[in-house]
Amino acid sequence: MKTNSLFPFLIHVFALLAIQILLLINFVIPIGSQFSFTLYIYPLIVIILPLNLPKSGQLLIAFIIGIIIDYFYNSPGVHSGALVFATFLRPIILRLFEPRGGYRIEQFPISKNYGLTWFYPYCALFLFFHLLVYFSIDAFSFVYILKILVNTVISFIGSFVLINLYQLIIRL
Amino acid sequence: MFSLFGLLQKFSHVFIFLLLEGICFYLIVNYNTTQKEIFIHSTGQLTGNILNQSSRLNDFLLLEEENKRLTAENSKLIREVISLTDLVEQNTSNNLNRTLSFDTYPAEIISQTIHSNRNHIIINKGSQDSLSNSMGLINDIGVVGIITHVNNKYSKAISLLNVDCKISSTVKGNDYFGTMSWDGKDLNILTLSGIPKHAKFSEGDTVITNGYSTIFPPNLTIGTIVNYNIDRSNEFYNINVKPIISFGNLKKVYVVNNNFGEEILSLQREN
Repeated sequence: MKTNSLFPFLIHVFALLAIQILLLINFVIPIGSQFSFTLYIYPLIVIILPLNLPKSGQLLIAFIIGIIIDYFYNSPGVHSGALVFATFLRPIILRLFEPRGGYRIEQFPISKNYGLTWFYPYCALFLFFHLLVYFSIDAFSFVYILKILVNTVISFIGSFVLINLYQLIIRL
Repeated sequence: MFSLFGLLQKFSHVFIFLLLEGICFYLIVNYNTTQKEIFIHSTGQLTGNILNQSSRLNDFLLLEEENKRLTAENSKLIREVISLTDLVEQNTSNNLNRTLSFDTYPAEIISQTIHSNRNHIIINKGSQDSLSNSMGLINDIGVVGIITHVNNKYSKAISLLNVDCKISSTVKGNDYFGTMSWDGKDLNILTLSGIPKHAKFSEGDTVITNGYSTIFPPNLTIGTIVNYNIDRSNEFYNINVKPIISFGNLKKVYVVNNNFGEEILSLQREN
């Protein structure tokens, strides 16, 4: 999937959504009394969105993906709120890690095109912000700040590993 | 102007972002119970505070109306108290059956004198408010005076501190009656005369109206006994009474009208 072609992209979207909704939705490991270890793979959809999409369009796509996830998680607005926020930050993060030659807008922002050393920080930052906002909305109160932070960290580690595993296996 | 449009175009994704986050917030708060409860609790505290202040301000602005309403209510309650005490008395004492019925009207004092021998009070109600001569003036503490002249909108009354003002009164607990009047000398001393020397009372007793005047309902306080002596000439007491009302700072009064006053007076004149 080197150049911006719609069909492979849609297959990946569908696959990621399926994995998230069918497999990962039940993957909750409680740690202690108030922390839990959960995995999220759907942020990869937004991570690999083409670079030449208008920003409003990216936000809309993120919103729709989030709503679909929310529908199955029975938490209307939570995932979409977090995902839209992270998508808003995406251009800033991309600009932060702009490779020396600039981005080639006809290609997807994936590790095959730009290398793992570029992909790791980009993916990590995006994922971290997304999960931070997600757990904050989920708790909705500063009383639970410890819970928010711990959950973010452990879910981040798990999801990050999972996302890169997916990339490796599917040879994105 | 065009640069504004350019700016809008450049930042259109920010507006879309804000719009979408707004929709997400709406969904979160409305459809997730924990978030909904936390949201309602926090906003409730904030709005509660603001609404409380707004309500206090509103109350303050409506004070004048509330005041008028309370005065009218007060007037009605005094009327009820008068008729109820009368009812109680009728049922517990051996008084000759006399159905007293008093109307009360609230009024405000707009002018008064306290330094002359014949002090008067001017109130802001007149004949257009159904006032007429010889109606009594009271407030919630006790007796104030008697109306002498009535205009369309204002009336003049003599206060207790007026040598012409004579009120039929009794020492509470007694059945003997006498006349309360003022000698013009000391602002704090009214004179109760005509109580026979075999009457029993003591300093500090309350002096009240009996029902014998057609002007005032019975059991209204006039004052308290300060001291007394025997009038050698005609075997009656001279009792010095301190008026219960301080005439300097009167503002709100009630005009009492005895509905049967005319009847009783005409009977008294017949002879």
